[in-house]
Order: sequence, then structure tokens, then C-alpha cells
Amino acid sequence: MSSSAAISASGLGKSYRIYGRPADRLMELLASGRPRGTEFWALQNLDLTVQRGEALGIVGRNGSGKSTLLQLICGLSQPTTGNVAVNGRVAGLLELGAGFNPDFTGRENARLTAAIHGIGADVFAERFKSIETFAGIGGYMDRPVHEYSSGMFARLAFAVAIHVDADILVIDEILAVGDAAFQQKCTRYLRSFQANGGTLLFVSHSEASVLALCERAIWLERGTLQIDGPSGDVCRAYASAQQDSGGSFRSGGRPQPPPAPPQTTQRLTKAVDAFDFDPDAGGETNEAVVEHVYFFSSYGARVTAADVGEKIEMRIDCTARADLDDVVVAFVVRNRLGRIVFSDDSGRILRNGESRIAAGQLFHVKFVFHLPFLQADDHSVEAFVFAGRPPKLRCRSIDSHFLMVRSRHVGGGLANIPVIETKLETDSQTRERTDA
Amino acid sequence: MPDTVIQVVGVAKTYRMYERPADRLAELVNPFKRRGVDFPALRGIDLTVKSGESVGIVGRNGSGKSTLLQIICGLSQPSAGSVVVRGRVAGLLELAAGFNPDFTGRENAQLMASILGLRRHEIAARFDAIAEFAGIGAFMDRPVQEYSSGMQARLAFAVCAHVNPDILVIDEALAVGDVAFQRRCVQYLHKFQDSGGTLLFVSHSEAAVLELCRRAVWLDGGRLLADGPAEEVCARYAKALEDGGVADGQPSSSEPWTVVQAPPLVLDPRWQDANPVEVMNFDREAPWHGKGGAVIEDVAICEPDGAPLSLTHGGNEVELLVRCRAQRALTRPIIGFILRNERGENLAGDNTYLRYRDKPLTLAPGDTFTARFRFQMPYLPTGLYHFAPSIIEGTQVDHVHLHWMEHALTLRVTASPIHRGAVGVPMLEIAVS
Repeated sequence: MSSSAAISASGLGKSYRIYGRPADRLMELLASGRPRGTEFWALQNLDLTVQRGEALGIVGRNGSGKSTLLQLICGLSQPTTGNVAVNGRVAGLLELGAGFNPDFTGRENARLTAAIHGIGADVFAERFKSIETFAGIGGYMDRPVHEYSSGMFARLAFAVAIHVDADILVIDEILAVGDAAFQQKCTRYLRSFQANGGTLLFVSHSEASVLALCERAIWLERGTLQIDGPSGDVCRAYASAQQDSGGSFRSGGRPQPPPAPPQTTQRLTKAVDAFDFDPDAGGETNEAVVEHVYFFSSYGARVTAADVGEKIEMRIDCTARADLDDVVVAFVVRNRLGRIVFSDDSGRILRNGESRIAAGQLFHVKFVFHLPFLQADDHSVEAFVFAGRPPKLRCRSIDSHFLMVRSRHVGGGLANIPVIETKLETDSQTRERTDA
Repeated sequence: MPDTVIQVVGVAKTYRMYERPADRLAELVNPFKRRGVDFPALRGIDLTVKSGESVGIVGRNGSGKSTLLQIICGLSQPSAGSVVVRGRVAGLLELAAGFNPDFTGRENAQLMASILGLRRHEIAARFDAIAEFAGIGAFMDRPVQEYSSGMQARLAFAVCAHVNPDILVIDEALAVGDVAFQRRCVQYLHKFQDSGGTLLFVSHSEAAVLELCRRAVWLDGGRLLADGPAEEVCARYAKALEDGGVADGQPSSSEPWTVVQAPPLVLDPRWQDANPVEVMNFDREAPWHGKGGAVIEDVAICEPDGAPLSLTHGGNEVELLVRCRAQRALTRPIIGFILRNERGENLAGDNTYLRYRDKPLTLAPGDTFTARFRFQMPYLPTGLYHFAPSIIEGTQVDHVHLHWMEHALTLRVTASPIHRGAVGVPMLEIAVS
């Protein structure tokens, strides 16, 4: 096994015996000669290597072997054939709250889960505050978990799993529950986990979540590996197979796009010295505060919901806590999965020709635009204040500011294209039109 | 600057709801076993009202309007957040709220006035005015249980109008009562406003809100969706009702889509000529699936109504052309596209369904037909992009894929000022104050 492989499976298979009647199982045990059950292969002959720091998405229908694979990797089940080597500490979020004792409180279950993962009582005590904050379930932490909603279960399970120093996180559909803010918190955590060398195995029915989190994906079908490759290709292949309802349905074509031809000679492109920043980087000096982010309609009403295409003004209110020069205010807009849909910045701020903003001064930056054709859902806005040359992060907004996007546009894209005009005509109609 | 008389910060109110009344009792007896579910009536409301302002509150039933007024009037405590109210508040919340049905109108009026802070001699001095305003004649000395709802409203309003409130909170009370009484109420409210009173006014009637309020707020699902000029907030609310839009921003009908008007084309001066987009040739060998019946023969990016392009720029107006051939007779063909980035994420999509639902093309075997989608090429980060064109037959929700191609047309963005996000959004203005 290569030293950087986190998971390495070869010839991995798992079969179950299925019995028509429970008595058959007993009979087979007693009279070991004649098999009475039928063999069902949940997973067959799987070879898979996952490198450290990789995020692997796993797609497939119900019963395709996804959960069996995760159970084998987590050591919850033993393979029938082949073997799987796992290099590092694994934390699994398999079924919601699996492993939680329903009669214990959230706190007790957290302590228990941490202990199973080898976290000592003193370390747990240190981390509990952080688990509590991440879970965000308030007083329910001291209630038995059978009182929890599925969303609260997921919040607690996720919060605990990320505090046990796992090298490998195995996640089964957990992001499907929980509200937009929690989903964003999870995806943001998973990205930083991965960036720090963590390995992620992620099962989901949501193509968008797999694409948002994983570069690579595999597709399982009836226990066998169909495709292993870039997540875009795998998700597309899986999605088009879902269309296959028998009959004359066919598919074909080259599996990969042909390599793009060399770049054409271009007319001179204007170089734009655009400001770039990493919204997930820390290191803010807190020499400024983002007080609030407001949205206003074109008539000046403050709004928290807007229609796609509507002209809106986003106003970011900030206060300088130190004298700041060459201030830049930036923002990112994220969707439910934490995917940045768009972002922008003010450029260097000049007020009355001055590039300095004195300590204690309040300043507003407004961005006026037509709301792009985003999905009908909550979107969050995060704002940042930079200052100095080169620009250095002074602060980021602490609260999440949400804008509810209202849309009846048909497109399922992150930022659909407003089509100005659509024409559908036979080519003979086109000829008639152009001749006339 | 006028003083703030109502300051609501982050106010939330959650009720526990029980399926059966017995569950509520059981939870009281054994609070460790929870039987109810939490219903958030208000979730994080911020509202500041200045002295002398009149604010209309609109929203559907159950949107949290009454809960908010109850909290402002001090009849209910918020679960989270804070409310500060300065001045004497008189509330006309639910009809006859606070009236004792066995007492006469006179007794109830005296009681209500004293609760609102009037001394006995003040009440005596104003009683005739109250009785005249209410205009219920001899019923004033009958028990309130004999009153019609209109009479109850008249009496309650008359009392509120005579206790010198600084803030009046009115919930739909004007909807009952006859036209003459309503006119008297509106006259009184105008006078109240002129003398510097602050008014909070809940109504389903857009006309009443516009008549009395210059500012309005819109509540939905316990959240504040809009706060601003009354004309605009009412218009937004009316439009949302018309669209059938509901609390979660999700339309509710089974075919919720509509043709959404494209906003005017905006070019961002910062990005002109900075976002070249190369257009590759149509790839006939691209992966495809489908049942057959039609085949995609060409896909291109063109000048509007013009020739194919091999190079364009983010921000330019272009046309996506998808040409198909029918292999059998087709009755309801839909041509669509999805634009994906290199990771395979769905950036954008559209199709011809909505615009041709009522005038579908009918095609004979062998006919060629073309869809043209005209749009502004989005400002895109550098990288490869793929158009996936499709020809399907049926409706938006019930259809078969005839021919669906993946990455049939590839775009390459070789330079871009957009570093973060899926697209760049052109700005009309960026200003600092």
C-alpha cells in the first residue's frame, strides 16, 4: 500500500445469505450439509484506492452496495472476500445517530462516542464547548436523544464526529437534513477538513452536493463498480442511466470530451487587476467590524426576499476600529451547500478624495445590481473588510445575513441565464421569416 | 430626529403545539417526556418605529402579524429578543379582547379606560364623548354578550380613541362596522397622526393600509420579508399572492414555472473585453442518451440572428442555436440546454417548453427545426464550460428524452476578472458613503 493511501481495498466482496423462512436459517446451522438460503452479493470484487486528502463521492441507487461499502470501511462489518486496509482514524456518520443510545442525553452520547474513538475524559471536557457550539441545539444537549428531531440528531452526530481527530470521515446522506445555515456550516467544515489533509467518503443522492464536495466519484450498481472518475462525469453517467426505462432507450458517444484544441490567437485582452481573496482564510485583525448587511428594493424598502432579475441594492455597514488606509469591502454570496455563487468587492475606497478611514468612523458600501437567476432558496451573504497594501483582512461578518431568493424560472442551475428571447421554428418557417 | 418609540430586536416567539389536549397535560406532569412540537410564530424580527410614524403590517393568515402586535402590546412575552416601547399603548387586537361579556358596555368601557391609565374623573369627563363616538345608543347599558361584532368594535375603538394613547395598535378592527363608522375611524386616525401619534395597523386591505400608512412591513412565515414605502411593500405582497409564492420562497402549484422576464442587459465597465470566451465546434461524437425519434444535428453560439462565432466575450449578446431533425412525427417537442462547468455543476438551463406550451410545433418525419436562445453571455471564471443540448417530447414534468447530448459544445474562457463564484454579476453601481 502506498504511504499516502488512506483506504485501499482489493477484491472486496460481501455476501449475505437470504432465507425464505427464519426456520431455514436455523436448519442450515444445525444440518450444515445442505444450504437452504440463497446467496446475495451486496458488494462484489471491488478495487478502490483513496489517497489521503481526497474526497470521494459515492453514488448509486438504493441497494446498490453503497452502505455496505461504508460499513466495511468503518469496520462495522467483515468482508466475505478480499480485504480493505484503512490507514488512520475513521469517524463514520452512517445512519443518523447510529450508535447513539436513545435514552442517554446528547451530552452523554457525545461523551460515549468520543470515548469509543479514544478521546480521553479530560480532552473531551476541553472540547465539549466547541461540540455544543457546532451542534447549536441549545438546551436539548441535556435531553435524551429520543426527543430529538432528525435535524437535531444530525447536528449532534456531525458535531461529535468532527471533534474526535478523525483522519477519515465517512458520511452517508447526513447533509440532507438540517437547515441551510447548518448545511453551510458542515460543507465549510468538510472543505477545511479536506484542505488540511483529511480524507472524505461521501454518499449522497444529491448530485449538487457530490459535485460541491468531491473531485472524484464512484458509481455502484448492484454491488459492482460501474465507473470511477471525475465526479462530473460519474454523476452525469449515473443521471443519464436513471432515465433508462427500458424499451428502445440507448446511449453512446465518446465517454470523455476530446482534448480542447490549442488556444486560438486572440485579440488583445484587457488585463483586469481584480482583487482576489480566500473567504475561508482566517487571520483577521478585528480592526474593523461589519455591523450589518441590508438589502433594499429599488424603491428603498428594506427587504429580506427578492425576485430574480429584480434591481436591488446591497448595503454593507462597517465601522473602523483603527485608522485604516486603502480599504476594500468584499462579499461572497453562497447557496445552501456553501457554494459561492458570486462575489465582488468595492475596489479601494475613497471618501472625499481621502483613502483613510479614521478609527470609530461608520461607512457604508452599496452594490446595486439585478439579482441573478439563482435557485429559489435562502442564500447567505458574508462581508469582509480589507485594508492596506497589499490588502490584509481586518474583519469578516459574524452573523449570517440571508436573502431569500424567489424564482419561478425553470432552470436548475446555480445562476441561470436570463434568456431574452426564445425561438422554436421549423427551418422552413425560418426561411419564410427571413425571406419576408 | 424623532425618537424611537418601538424598538423590536431579534424577536422570536415559539409555541408548543400538541396533537391532543391530553398531551399538554401529560407534558406538564412529566416534563422530561416531550409530546408537543415547537411552532415558530416569529423568527428574528427587527423593527424600529419612530414617534409619529404610521406603519402598516401586511401578510397572510398565520404569518405572525397578530403575534407581533401582542408582543408589542405586552400581552405576550417573546421567546427570544427584546421589545422596548415608550409611551402609552392602546391596542385593538382581537375583537373585544379584554371585554367581560357579562358587564355592560359602560362598565367595560370604564374598566378598559382605567386599565389604559385614565383616572376615574377623567373617565367620567370623557364618557359622553366615548358614547357618542361608539354610536351604539342604549346598548351602552346592555351586557356586551348581546353586542354584534360591529358594536364591540365600535365600543373598543371609541375607548381607545379617548385615552390619549401615544401609540395605537389596530388589528383589522376596521373591517367590521359600517361605512359611516369606518369613515369616522379613519378621520379620527388622521387626526391622531396629525397630532404626532404613532400607529401600527394590520390589515388585509391594501387600500386601508395605503390610506393610513406611508410605511409598511410584510411578514411571512414569521419573518420580515420587506420594510419600506407602503405602495411598494403592498405591491410586492400582492404580487406574491398572485404568484402563489409561499413562505419558503417555493412556489406551490404542480407546474410552478413561468417565463421570467430577463432584466435589462447590463455591461460591467470593469470587465469589458476582459473575459474572452472561445467557442469550439459542435462535437457529434459527444456522449448521448435517449429513445430516438429526433436527433440533434448542430449546436452553435451565434451573433443574434446571425452567423456562428468562434470567439466572444462575457457580457456580449449572443444566441445559442440547437438544430434538430425529426425521425418520426413529433407533436410536442421541447428543446433545452444545460450549461455546466468543468466540475459538472449545473450553472444554467432553460428550454422552449413554457414559451411554446400553447403553440407546440408539429413535425413530420424528416423535418428540421431549430431553437434559438438569445442571452447575454455570462461573465465566467477561466476554465472549460460545456453545453448539454437536449430534445425531449412531452411536458415539463412528464416527458421522454429523445436525444440528450453531454458536452456537445465546449466553451473555453481563457482570461477572467472573476475569481470567486460560479459567475460574475455585473454591477450597476458601487458607491461608498
